Amino acid sequence: MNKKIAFSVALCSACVFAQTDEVTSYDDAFFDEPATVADEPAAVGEKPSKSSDVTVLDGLSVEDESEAETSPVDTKTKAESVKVLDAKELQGSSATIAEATNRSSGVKIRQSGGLGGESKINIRGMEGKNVKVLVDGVPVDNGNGSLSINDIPIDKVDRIEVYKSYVPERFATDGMGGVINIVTRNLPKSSIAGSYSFGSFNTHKVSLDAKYVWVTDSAKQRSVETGISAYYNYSDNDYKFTTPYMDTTVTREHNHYYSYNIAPFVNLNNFWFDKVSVGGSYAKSFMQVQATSHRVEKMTMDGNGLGLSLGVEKSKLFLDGLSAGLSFNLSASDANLVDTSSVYFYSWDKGDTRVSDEPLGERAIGAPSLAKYTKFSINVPWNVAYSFNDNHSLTWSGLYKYDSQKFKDELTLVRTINNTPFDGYDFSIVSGLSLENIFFDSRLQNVLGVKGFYYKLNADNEKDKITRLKNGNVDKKDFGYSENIRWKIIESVALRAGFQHSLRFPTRDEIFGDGLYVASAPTLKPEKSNNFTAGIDVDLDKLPLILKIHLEWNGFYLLMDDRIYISPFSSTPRPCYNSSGTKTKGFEVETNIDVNEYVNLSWNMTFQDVRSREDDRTYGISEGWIVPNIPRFYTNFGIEFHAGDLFFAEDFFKIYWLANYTDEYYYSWKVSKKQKRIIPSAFTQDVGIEYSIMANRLSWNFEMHNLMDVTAYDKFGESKMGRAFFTKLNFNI
Amino acid sequence: MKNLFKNIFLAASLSLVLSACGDDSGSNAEDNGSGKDSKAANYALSFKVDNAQYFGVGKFTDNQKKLVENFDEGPSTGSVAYFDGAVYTLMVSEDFSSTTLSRYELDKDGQMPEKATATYKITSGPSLMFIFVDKNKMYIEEPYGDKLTALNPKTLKKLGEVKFTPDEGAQLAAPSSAVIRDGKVYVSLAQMVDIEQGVGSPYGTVAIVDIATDKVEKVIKEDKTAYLGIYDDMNNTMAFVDENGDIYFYAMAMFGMLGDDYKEGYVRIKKGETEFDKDYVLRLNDCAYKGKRVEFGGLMTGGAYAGDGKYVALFGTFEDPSNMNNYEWQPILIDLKKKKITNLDLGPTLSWLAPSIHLDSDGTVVFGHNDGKKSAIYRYDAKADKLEKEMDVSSGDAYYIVPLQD
Repeated sequence: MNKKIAFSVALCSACVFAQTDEVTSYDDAFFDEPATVADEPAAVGEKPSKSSDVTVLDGLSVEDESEAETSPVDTKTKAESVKVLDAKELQGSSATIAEATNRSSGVKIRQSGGLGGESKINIRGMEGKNVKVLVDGVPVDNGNGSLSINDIPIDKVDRIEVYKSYVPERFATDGMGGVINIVTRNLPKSSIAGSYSFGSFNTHKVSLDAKYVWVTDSAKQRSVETGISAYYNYSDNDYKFTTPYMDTTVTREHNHYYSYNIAPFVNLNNFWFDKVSVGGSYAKSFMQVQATSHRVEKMTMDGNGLGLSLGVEKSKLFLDGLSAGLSFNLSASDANLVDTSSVYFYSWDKGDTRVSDEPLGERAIGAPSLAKYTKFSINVPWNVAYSFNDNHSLTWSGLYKYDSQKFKDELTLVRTINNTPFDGYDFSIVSGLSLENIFFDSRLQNVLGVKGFYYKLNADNEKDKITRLKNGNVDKKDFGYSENIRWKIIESVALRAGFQHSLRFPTRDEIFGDGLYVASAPTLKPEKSNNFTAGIDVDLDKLPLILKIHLEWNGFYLLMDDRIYISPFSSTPRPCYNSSGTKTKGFEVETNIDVNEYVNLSWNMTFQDVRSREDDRTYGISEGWIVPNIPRFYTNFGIEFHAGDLFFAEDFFKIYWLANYTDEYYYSWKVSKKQKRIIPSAFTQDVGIEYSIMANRLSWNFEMHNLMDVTAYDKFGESKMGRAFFTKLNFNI
Repeated sequence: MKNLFKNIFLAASLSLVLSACGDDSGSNAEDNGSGKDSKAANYALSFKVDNAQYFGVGKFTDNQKKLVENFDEGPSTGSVAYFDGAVYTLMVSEDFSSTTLSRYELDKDGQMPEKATATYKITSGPSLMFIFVDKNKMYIEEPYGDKLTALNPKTLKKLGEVKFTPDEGAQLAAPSSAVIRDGKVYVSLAQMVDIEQGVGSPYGTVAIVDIATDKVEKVIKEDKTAYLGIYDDMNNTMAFVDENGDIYFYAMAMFGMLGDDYKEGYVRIKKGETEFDKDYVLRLNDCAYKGKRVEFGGLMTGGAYAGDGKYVALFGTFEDPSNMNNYEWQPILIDLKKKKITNLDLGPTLSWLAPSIHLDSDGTVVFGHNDGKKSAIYRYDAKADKLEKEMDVSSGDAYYIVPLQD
């Protein structure tokens, strides 16, 4: 855990902006939750098995290259539906975390804007708040399923675990669609690591990690680790884009972004506990707001976050096999929206304006804001594990989370109808129990889990707002459960099956509104889902002409009830509502082939058919309709040539081609044969070259994204970045 | 721009499409054929599904589900109209930044072409209301530009514009409900003091525009009600001209949410006059409803004038303003002469169906209804007090039901 606590605290509090363009909620507009994030205590003593020859997408196994005390993962069994993207392949790359994750089967990350923009994660058709983003096992997103994960330097990542249609009980969080757990890297000894990246649109990224270890008592293995982790990101984001709203291509001229954070830490090893970790962080972000429909010249958002954390870990607690970890984390943050311009641009034409003596605002005419959102958070994650023996263990995990928040908008205080969000607090306790078993010499592996949830949301009374709301307190409790099993039929073939009953509680914004885009909906019910998954893994080697091949097939059948939608009102704020549940059927195919020691081929494809389960007369929705805004078919290709000791001893060279095809999908419910609002299909290609020397201590990478400069969309109404290059220098000393 | 748009749906009230379509002779409800004959007529139909609407032409005898499968898709914020052999649409972009006006000239079989025959882009934001004058002129309201834009109805080429000036303290003088009489457009101006919240002035304003010159001849005010009409009155339902040539405007007073300074009710401009009738105000809250006086907060949203003082509309209390999806909007008949409100023989429905209420060419009123279990199109004959179902709706809800007759 050690430095990761500090780092992840900083990480989240720095992610202050999620998106600027398609603003659909307060958090979208402002930032990914400025909450404290802490490392979840590890299941100490469960050191994962090491593995060699980890490929880019390494199947089901969790190949942990870091120390044992990372966040708890399914280290003993391989029964869970998880895909691991390994650090060794990620760290040299110029790709962002979103881009790297987007190459997995079953995962589609819909990017909006450039650096600092929103990355909306879709896993097997479940999107947004149903997908949880964790850093080292602890939720860091703001609950809306988006996170500016591109802020996180990929160099700081040890691995990315993608859990699909499954939220492990040991991650004490709600959610149904899956989890992206970003496990950060832990420098193994006194060392310095860093990188500098430069790319199109004046994009700069700098990251630095430094650690020094004092061994104070080698006999007792006591040591003190201290260090700092920091990063800085900047981009003009001034790429050209187009939308159906305009007849031409427009350059994003008002989208400068920067973010940085600094996170010092101190770890005490084998003093009283196995590990005592203390960390702090400071983070800041700033972004000019770029609209997609009209000119904006002044509107900005910024945020600050300060975090402190303390964690302890202890193995052999009272008895052999029992280990525990606990951490306590505080954070305070604020975010500001400044939209006080007295000039409103109707279009991209500088002369097409409305001018007033009073602030008009640029977000929407007549809706100026000078808003400040402050938040204080406490997170207390814990983890207790007992290993009966090498094959059987029980883990109890939990997370207590408290947030208080205040909102003030100096320009909306005198409104007749007060739509500002409710001040107040909320807290939750989520706790899970996992039983992991290995039988028959690892041929049969099983993970059984149960999880309980309790949430309480409170809204402070203000004037007559509670009267309108009718209830200032909302509390909910429920439970979920899961079962995953893997049976290795023969050495090279394994079958998997899994089931999870889980839920996703409405967020505070959905219940009480956010003051800008989301209206209160106090009667909103949790979404619930029963997820069935199955899969086959085939691993073959020593084949004629092929060194090694991994084949994988996954099928999924997901039944969701009470799906939460945002109202299609033409006005804002808009309330959320429970409507037609969905039925998702789909499958993924994945292959990874090492043709020989120099050439690797990879391919995966995903098909998912997400449809309404029943009629909803209120919104005119009928059973069996295709749910909008969910990609139905996409496929990824990769070819890599690599060679070591090419020019020097311990050098490494690789050149690669990555491609993606995403079929068209729909902006609204598929009703007509003449559906016009379509997110069009696109075939995009990236190429890259990488060279490292001195056993990867120094590496250089160059990538060209969207090589053919294809106009591609991740969402209706906003084209993505066109051709762009990025280059990076990386060092480890 | 926020709450304002709620009003689009909730205030589609009172008025007659004909009154804004160049018919300056008042209601012609008694001049048309029988309801039976009108069943054979084609309609421009639109069905709303969540954030979309699907529009095209059809008949009530068509299979609605099959019909919709061949309809064009557009955003739910948009309006549909018919004039002189063409279907017109105003479709607002998903981010409300612009609106596209499209004209679909019907072929000899009365079918819509695949693509619009003419389009016009409006960049000032949402624009949802047509005012057809004649074959050579139409207006489009641009509430966020404080203006009417004059266009050639066939080519959609811009002919000119009529600008309005906000009152002191107002951010917008947004043109809203409108009628045409004696060569002039009578258009209510929503003097918006808070655009974001959709709050207008506590008084009513109407601009009188000379159609020949596109000049504002006069702006008249009254203080018996709050701001009149509602901008983006999708169906132009909050103003109408009756058989006598008297003009009526309705103020919905934002459903009573703005306090006692904002009063609902009808005001009148009598035939031949260009000032408000100082002696006339009709408050629905004073009308008899279910044998008792309606408490303040009783509201009307959407409707069509059927002649002889009869008005078909939706009526609700809007008890929970945070929930627009309550089935609390009761189809009613208002007798303006008797000051009486009676329920039609249907249960409450959703506010979203308010734009569907149209006067048919035979003087009956067609409208959509959704009771939470099923959705359908009904026809109500106010003279005979007869209600009948015309079409089952299984895909979406009836949003616009526009007779293909001028």
